[in-house]
Amino acid sequence: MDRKQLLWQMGAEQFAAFDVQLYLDTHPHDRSALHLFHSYHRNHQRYKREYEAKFGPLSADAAINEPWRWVSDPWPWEREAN
Amino acid sequence: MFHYEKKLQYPVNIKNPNPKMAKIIITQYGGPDGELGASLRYLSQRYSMPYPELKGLLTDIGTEELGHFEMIGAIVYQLTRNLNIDQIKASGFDSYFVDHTTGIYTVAASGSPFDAFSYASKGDVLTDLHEDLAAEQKARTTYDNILRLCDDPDVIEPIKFLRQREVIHYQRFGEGLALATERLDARNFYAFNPSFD
Repeated sequence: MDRKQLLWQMGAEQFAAFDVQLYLDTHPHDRSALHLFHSYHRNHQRYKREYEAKFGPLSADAAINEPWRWVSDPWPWEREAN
Repeated sequence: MFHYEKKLQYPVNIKNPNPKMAKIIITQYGGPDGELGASLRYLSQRYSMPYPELKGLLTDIGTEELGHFEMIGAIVYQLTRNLNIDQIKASGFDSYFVDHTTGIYTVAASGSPFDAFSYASKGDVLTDLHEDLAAEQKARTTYDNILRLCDDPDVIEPIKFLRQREVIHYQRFGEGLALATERLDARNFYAFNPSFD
């Protein structure tokens, strides 16, 4: 996958996990929703590790390697990032 | 506390600048039913919420709204790149340009700056949840109006995403209201039950 495809896949899993998170806030005892949340969350984490290894940190605490890539362009509001 | 993640919740990649459209869409940045007011509303109301599910819901939706605030900023930013003065004059963007150049500022489409009177934090569970339900519908209507005024698919896609989130938030707040109503005094069937006493 190129950067944009990986970003889209990661974002899709992250979004699905978050949408289930909101559902769980009002249905905290729904076990099938909790399983769904874990599954989306795991997939998101897997894509995120792959993305950060290939294309740089998504959060400042993942910017552990030299040089300091946290400030590297593009930033999310720029066309090139999307 | 909050952490920044260096990505948008949904991608924004707009090929063609359009300052006229920017001047309309900026209303969701700083207008009466915009994403800034939404975030401040929920992140402020959560302190006086009596139930844990509602503290969580307001925290999570208030946080998501900050991400939407960033998406609207990205849309307006990309719609106003590489403009020349003739385009600025012809599009009606000149009245914004004179104050902000192409900087991004929290204003409504009408030009009035962000006003904290556009949201309430009343310290009462029923009052605040009804405010939230109304706010989600007002934002959904605004996105419907933006879609009526917009013909660029690069803009329509992220706006449709944001519109759909208003629908989901309305659903979740409705469930939150049901949870709160169940916990009111059963004899209080007109559903007024101040959180304060």
